[in-house]
Amino acid sequence: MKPVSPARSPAAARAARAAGNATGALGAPDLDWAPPAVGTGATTPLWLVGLFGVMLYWATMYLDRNGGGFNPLVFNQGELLADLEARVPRSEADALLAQGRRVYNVYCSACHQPNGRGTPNQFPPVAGSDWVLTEGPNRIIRIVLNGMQGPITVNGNQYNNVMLPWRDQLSDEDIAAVVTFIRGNAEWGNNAGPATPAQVKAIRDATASRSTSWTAQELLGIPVKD
Amino acid sequence: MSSPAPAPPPGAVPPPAAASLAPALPADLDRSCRWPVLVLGGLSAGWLVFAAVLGVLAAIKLHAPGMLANVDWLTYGRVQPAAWNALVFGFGAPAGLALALWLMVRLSGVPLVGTGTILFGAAVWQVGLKLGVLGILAGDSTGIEGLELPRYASPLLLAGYLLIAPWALVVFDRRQPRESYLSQWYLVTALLVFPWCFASGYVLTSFLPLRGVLQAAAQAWYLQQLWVLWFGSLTLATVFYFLPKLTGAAVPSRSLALFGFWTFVVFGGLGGLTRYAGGPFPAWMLSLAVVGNVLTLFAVYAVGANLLPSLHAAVSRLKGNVVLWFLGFALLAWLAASVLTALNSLVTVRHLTHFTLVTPGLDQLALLGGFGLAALGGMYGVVPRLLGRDWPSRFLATLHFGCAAGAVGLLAVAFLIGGLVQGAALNNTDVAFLTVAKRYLPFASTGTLAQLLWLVGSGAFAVNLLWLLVACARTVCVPAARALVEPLPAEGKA
Repeated sequence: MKPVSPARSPAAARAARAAGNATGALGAPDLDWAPPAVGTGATTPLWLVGLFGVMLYWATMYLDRNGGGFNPLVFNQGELLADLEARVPRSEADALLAQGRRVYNVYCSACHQPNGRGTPNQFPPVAGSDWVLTEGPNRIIRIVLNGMQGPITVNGNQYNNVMLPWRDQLSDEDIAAVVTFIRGNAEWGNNAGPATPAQVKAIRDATASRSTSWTAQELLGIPVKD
Repeated sequence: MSSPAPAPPPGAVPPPAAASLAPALPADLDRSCRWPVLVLGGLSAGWLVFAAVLGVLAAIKLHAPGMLANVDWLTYGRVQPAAWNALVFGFGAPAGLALALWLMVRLSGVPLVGTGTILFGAAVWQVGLKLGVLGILAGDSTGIEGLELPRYASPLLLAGYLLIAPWALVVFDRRQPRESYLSQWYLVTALLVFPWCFASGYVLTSFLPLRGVLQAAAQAWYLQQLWVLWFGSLTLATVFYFLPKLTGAAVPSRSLALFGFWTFVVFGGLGGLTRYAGGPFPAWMLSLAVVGNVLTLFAVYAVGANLLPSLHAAVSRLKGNVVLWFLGFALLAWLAASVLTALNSLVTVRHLTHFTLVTPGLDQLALLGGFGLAALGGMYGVVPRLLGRDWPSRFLATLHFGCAAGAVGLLAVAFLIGGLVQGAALNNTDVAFLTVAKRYLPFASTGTLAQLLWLVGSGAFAVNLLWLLVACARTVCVPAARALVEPLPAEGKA
């Protein structure tokens, strides 16, 4: 295409295009100004509207079942806030209990058993034990810190073995948690009050110079409560 | 200079007498938007090739990680986001804006106003994007997928956009037939969605970052708006204009189109979080995403039902009509991508496809196959009308379609099948992870082949466009230069 300049003047080109002689694009016809035709007679088919209603219903059911009640705390599809609260502790005491359960399962349950009943003649029970359910936790905090050896009478039965000291392995909070868990574990029928990290720290500091395990005789000389 | 056609008013009050007829000739409308559309389109063609080169590099690194591993600027973590941003913001957004301006002017029957501002906006956008892509290659990426542009670049893009897009809305507001056409609905959606999601996405991750996983939620939401409401709307606007227009087949039902449009707008943007199904997000976000993706199928059905007659009519006119090839393929790719995305959001399917090639495969099918081919087809249709001259090489255009369609088909099939193979192997605890990775390799190399095809096609398009522009420049410049040279001696003699 080698047009001579007069034929390519803007006015001539515009006239040519207006007459419908404009260049098509690779076989496409020229496009006039009017938008494409749209049929206005046909309505949206009824079955589509019906299906849309059904799917909207499905959507609400799906959201109801999997949306966690639109609560920002619920992350698992299919759960509600109530399920979440049943699974996760809410208060600080609940959190201490949950931590205590973890510590117990790792450090204590091998000897005292997961059900807290111990082993006859060797390891005394912690479930329903008169040593555990004292008014205050002073004695068992000491046992956990420094361990214990020699004969001991629990609920009228004799036991004789060695318990390891956990002073270096467990923090004040871990010991407070596990003592709270043992004393307050309702599954075992225990309902004694909690221990606090501050109590554990006080006893840890007071017995810092002690390097040997406790005996039952020594412990009976210590008041259960401050 | 006397004009044989009734001259349109220069952008101000339209003549009341011409209300019943076409108020302006297509040629005058085209002339009003020629420079903005050509500049935006031409720049997008350049970025298309640049993005394709980076895309090939990134694809090769997925199966040959040693290649160019010692060049800081070309490591995978930089090349991949640079390629993505060059494609989306270099090619996608300007090409989409060019088509939006042209379609809006055409369908509204009003000349474009604000040309100077638009050109300035295009320049601002280009400066911002060049800074951004260079910044990513230099290691300044924010590291958040899809929002990688550094803080010194992203505001420039938004500023550029805000200088360009409002003029399309101004034209829409002044439209001559008050009743609007389907493409205009989708265009208005796209034009309004982009600044909203782009600004929110960058503000919430780069400037006033949200805490923790909420950043990922904002990012997933942004990607969904960008993918579905921005690129999807532009795809549908283009296809809804060109397919019926070129085939002469009417869109059967306006009410079905309205139904489709509103289901698209209401539900289309909700599905973002399926990207992070199983992640640490409130359950309602993930459930809403599933519901949104499934309900978007109604919009997909409405689009399919309304464009099927055009597609049917197109079959008989396909011979030699490259624009139709591009747009027909784009429509099919968009429909396929939307249906597969809805399927992929179901929990049972996600169980197999999560963390596999399926996700990038669907993204590519929607971006390259749907939007990419629609925008390129639109360019093939628009540019000759603006320049008054057909494409110089039919062969290059045919080659481009073959390569682009082949690339998208290959990429989609390889990544979908590869993703399923990968997912099945990942779910099987007897298969070691290294074995899974090895099974993935052939599909990754197929991805490279597809990217190479895409590069060849893009190159053909760029050459064709350059050829056309040079030819036009010659027909304008040679006579002008001759006129400049010749009268002088004449004047001297006189």
